[in-house]
Amino acid sequence: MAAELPVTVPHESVNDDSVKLVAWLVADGEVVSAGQPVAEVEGSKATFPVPSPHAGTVRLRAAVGDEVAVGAALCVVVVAGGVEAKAPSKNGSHAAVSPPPVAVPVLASGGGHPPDSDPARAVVENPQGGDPPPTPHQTTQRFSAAAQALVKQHGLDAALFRDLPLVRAADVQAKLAPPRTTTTEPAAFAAPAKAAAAYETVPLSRQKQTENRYLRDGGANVIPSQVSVLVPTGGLKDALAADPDGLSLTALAVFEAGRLLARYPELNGFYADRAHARYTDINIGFAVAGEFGLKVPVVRAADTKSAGAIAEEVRGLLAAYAENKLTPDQLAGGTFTVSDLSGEGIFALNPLIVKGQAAILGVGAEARLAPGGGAVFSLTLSFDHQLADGLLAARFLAELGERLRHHESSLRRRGAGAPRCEKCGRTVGEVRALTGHLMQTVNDDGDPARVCSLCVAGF
Amino acid sequence: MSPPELLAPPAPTAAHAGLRPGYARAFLIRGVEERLLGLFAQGKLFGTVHTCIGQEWTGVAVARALKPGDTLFSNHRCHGHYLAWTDDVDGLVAELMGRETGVCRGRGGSQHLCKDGFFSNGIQGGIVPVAAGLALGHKLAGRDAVSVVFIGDGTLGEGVLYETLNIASKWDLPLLVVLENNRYAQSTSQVQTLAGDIPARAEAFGIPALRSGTEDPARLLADAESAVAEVRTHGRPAFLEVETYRLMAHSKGDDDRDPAEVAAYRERDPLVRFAADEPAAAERMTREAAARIDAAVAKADAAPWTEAGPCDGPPPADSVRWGPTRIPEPDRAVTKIHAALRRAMAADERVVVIGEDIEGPYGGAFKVTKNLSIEFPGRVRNTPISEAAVVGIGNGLALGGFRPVCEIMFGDFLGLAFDQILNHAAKFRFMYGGQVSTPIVVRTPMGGRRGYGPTHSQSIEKHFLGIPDTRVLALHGRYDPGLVYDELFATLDRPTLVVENKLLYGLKVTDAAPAGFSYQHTDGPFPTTRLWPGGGPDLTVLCYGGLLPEAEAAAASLFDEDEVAAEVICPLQLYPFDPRPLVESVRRTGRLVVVEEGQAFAGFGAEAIAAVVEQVGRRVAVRRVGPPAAPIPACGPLEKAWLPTAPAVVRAAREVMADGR
Ligand SMILES: Cc1ncc(C[n+]2csc(CCOP(=O)(O)OP(=O)(O)O)c2C)c(N)n1
Repeated sequence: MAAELPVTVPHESVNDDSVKLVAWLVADGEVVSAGQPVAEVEGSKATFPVPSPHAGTVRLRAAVGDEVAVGAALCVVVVAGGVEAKAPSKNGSHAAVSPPPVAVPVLASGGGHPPDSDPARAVVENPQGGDPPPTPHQTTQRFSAAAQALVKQHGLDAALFRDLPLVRAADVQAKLAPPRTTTTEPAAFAAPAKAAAAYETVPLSRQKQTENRYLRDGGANVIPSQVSVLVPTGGLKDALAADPDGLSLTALAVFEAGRLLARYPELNGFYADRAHARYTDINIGFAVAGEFGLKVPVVRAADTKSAGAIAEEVRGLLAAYAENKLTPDQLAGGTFTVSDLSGEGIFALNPLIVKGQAAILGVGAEARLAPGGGAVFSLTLSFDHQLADGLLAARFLAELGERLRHHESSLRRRGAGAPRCEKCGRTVGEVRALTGHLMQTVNDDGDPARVCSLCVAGF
Repeated sequence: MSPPELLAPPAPTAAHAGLRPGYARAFLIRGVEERLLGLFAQGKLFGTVHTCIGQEWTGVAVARALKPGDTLFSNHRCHGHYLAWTDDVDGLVAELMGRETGVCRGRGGSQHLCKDGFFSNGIQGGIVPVAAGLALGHKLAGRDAVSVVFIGDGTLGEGVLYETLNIASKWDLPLLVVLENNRYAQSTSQVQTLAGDIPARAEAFGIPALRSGTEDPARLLADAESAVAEVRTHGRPAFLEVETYRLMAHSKGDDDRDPAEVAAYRERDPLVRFAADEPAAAERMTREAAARIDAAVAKADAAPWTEAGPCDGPPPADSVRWGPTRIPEPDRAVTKIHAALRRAMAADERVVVIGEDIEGPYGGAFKVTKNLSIEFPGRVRNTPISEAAVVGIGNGLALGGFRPVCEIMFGDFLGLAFDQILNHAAKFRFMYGGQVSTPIVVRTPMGGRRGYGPTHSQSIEKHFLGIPDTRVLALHGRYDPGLVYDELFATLDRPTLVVENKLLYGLKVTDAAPAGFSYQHTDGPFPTTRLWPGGGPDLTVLCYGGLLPEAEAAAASLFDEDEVAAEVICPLQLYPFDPRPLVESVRRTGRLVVVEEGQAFAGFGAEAIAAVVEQVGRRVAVRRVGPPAAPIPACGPLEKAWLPTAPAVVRAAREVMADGR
């Protein structure tokens, strides 16, 4: 007896009233295993895959581009009666279902082939033997050599993984330290019972609604806190603009944040039910707002790439945004976010933490605190106080500021030309015009440098 | 060069009386061809024309000796034969003028005509076994019909003629071979190319040979009648040599013969002499013909150009549907194929199997037809070692409404039958304007691993890919080969080459996948199979046929050692190729390894990669795995090193994974 079970837009996004279906990961009629992602859905800041909780044959119920209401079915899975395997739900509670009729998982031997058979021809026989049910096709399970070693090392029960057809080392590691999230549903925002003044309601755009849902979600699981620092500058923006390699402040921030995060794991993860879930990768998203709404494309493995490579990648992602061609892949998987509003003339910002992350960096515009004085820009870190504290965040920002300044001076050295003040960036002529002079000194890196008398006086 | 033989004095013309209808047809033929030469000069024809001016009486005499239901095959010089049989001036003229109203919708043109059991082709000799195949069809169907094939003396140089004479004699086929001996082939006199005696060629195969000529139409009519009667009454082949002379160039502007020689023959031309003896009758016949021809040209002029699209429409655009692969009764592939052939033969009398050594008890080199000859007497036949004639006869059977299955003992021998596939089977439907189809199955084993050496181990299917209106299937052990044959016989509408891997025969066909993977296939006949890694793929591997086990082993070890999940795509139908399953997979993975056993250069893999590059629309990391550019050796260890295997696929996959990062 076959049953049709729905795959709905996931429970964890209960605040969303709908999501956009961006891609099917399976085809109509395809057989899926429990836990296999079937669709990619998109919100404003990220996209996420929707796994099928059931094993069986998929029948699609929505089309790419559709807005699908939360709780509504994206597709159904036709499950042969009584043989359904249910994937664990995200909150860790396993619904009571009859256990899947999985044979004892076969741990593939060394080379992956049953012993004493021709390896070129080896197959593991269908455990169900002669008369298999029509669907789903229950295969036995395969552990990679590394996964198998871990299972042995930790004496784990292989049955723990019965929902996974292919088990990798990372799957075993995940079981060893399972990241689980709890979501608290915020109370619904209700209109005031009695309006003090007359108003009219104008519905928000879809884009804005989706954005709001994600921001609300991001905030739901954190205790937000914030620190800011001011970074003195002699015109980092200008130095960057003159850079022949086309570095940008966003790219630099991503580059340096990536390197620092390796030492600040508290800022590269998320809080998960009394545990700190640390991401193993450092994937840094950067916020872009414009014609197509707020999007956060992601630079993957930012800690492993050169500044130049990151600059190029950022340019590519911006170009994709401009054509509204960012793919779900390019939007997914961020572990930290940078919001660079330095081009917008703001002094400081209060960036909102993205769902599933611990911190977000805001970059402000360059400003002079006093007329004729040295310029500064602000760096702000919003972070989850459950994982970090103000001191840690301050140290992170101070180090980041130092690194950016270092870039500025080396850019300036490369930029050569007329001698300039290391602090304010004024040329010798500009300084003289202000009745000052340039002095020889040693900068924070111990390199010879010049500063102007105006800046020294300013200190 | 002097005429090869002294001319005998012309026969008396007194016997004209009973020949008037024949002369009228001969004057019609001559009138049409002279007009065709005029149209050619005006640029109204496409290609060239080979006229039979001077030879008209051959076709006229033979056609008069035949009756409806008989079949005729002809060559490049076919207009006279065609008009003698069909009287279809309109269809012929429009055909040569490239019009939709042409007998073959303008697709075939001068050398490729088809109507009412008449078929011509421009390949010398190739049509002879096809004529024999249709003769076999007549015989099997119990039809009292004769199959006639016209050839020129130059075609005595083609080997397939002798393969066919041998079989036609051995099998007592109702086949009449009419040799028009005009002493030249294009520019070459037979003095230069012909050894021995012409009738002795037929007689060597035990086929009675008659000699006649166009100079004496009365005698030719009688000889044609007795030759046809010989075939019809005794149910065995005959050979009729007709001495004749072509008065015009071979085709256009290519006449190097001595003008004096041509002039001498012109004086003896039966139509010239008839016109001298009976000018009024000849003038009337010419006038009546001219009126018909004028009308035909006017009609053709007004008709639209032919339109001819691809044989198959555009490939389907919808996305692929996959279902789980179930093989309820695992068994050896050879058993499954045998059982399917048996089912087909039991269900459909039109299914006939021919090939070398296929009768029981031997049952074929790989035992696929075991005992079928005993169970279905007369429908499973051993042939001589004549691959071209075997497939040619299959083609004729297919034209005659049968569903022939030709077994080629080793795929390597297909080269000998290539012309029959390329220029006959694959062309008939199209070039005959869709009037016929060629539902023929050619089955053959390919592949190495048996140590048979360079000429018995190859995988040469790539040479058969891309021939429009054909189908090429490669069986494998994860989709029931018996089911493939069931589907094939249920839908057979075109020449289909089925590649059966040698090792596959002995392997058990099952749906068992390596642990963690499952087998699925697309819906519809001749599906693409995939080995699907639970949880989705990182990498796509494309293979077919005998290499699926290697790709499967590679997928398993890639996961075990590298934690890379490979999706193996294995199309059953190589041509026409449906790239959707592959493209959809690569769209997901961005990485592709293609493995093939035959030479990869200009091969299936190249074609598949082209489809991916054209359709995926982003950078794809690709590697090809194939054998070295050398023949496949016999020596076991050498052969093993030559063949692409799972470890080579794994190595390529690792490169691609590094590439794609
Ligand atoms: C297989 C093949 N080889 C060569 C040719 C080119 N060709 C066309 S007609 C012809 C001469 C044929 O001579 P014959 O068979 O004596 O017929 P005839 O032209 O004299 O009627 C040749 C060589 C061809 N059409 N097919």
